[in-house]
Amino acid sequence: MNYYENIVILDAALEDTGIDAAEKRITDLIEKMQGEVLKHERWGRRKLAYEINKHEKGYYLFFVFKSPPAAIKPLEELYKVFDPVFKFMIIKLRKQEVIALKNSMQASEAKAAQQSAQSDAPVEEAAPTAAAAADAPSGT
Amino acid sequence: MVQKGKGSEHVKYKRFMRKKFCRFCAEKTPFIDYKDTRTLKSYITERGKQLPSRMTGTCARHQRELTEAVKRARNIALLSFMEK
Ligand SMILES: [Zn+2]
Repeated sequence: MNYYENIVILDAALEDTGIDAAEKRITDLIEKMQGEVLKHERWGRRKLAYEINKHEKGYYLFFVFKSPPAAIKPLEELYKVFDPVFKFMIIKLRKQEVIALKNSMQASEAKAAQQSAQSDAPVEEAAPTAAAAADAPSGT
Repeated sequence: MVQKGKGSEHVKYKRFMRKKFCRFCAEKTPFIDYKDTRTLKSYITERGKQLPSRMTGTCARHQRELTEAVKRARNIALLSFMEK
């Protein structure tokens, strides 16, 4: 298993449903190839730094996934024939980047756990932890 | 003050230039992120060319990493190749 980061630029003219469909098609393929999507973000419509195939704008999708190396070829093949996609880049994460990724995922998990613990706890007890949570973002 | 030749040139140079250092070493950056265009932009010219390390003080290792990051950012249109 390797860690990969993948940016896909979709036609900015695409409706939201089209974007949902494209995102699903990509994640489905990754999962079909025994991969696991760890993060997906929508950066939304952005102006491109330069024109690509007469496109001035694009809708950016960002994925981080874990998969066997064999998954990359089919993914690239999909992007080549998948009409809404006009540019993509898949990058294998280096050691330092994988460490940073794991740390950030752990941090967000811990945060989620803390939040759910807070909502369960009685109000008086929740107060000090809430203060601690408020301090946390400034440190990171 | 009485120094001549190379020595006085050196003094002149010192007066205009602050000591350069590698920002990435100083901040102990684990890796340079190609998505962080704000950082990358401070290492390229207005026209989009990368600045030499002798101007920015970046160490050889981080300059290489920076080059890689700039190339990736250009590839995916986060940075331009050439600003006309
Ligand atoms: Zn350095």
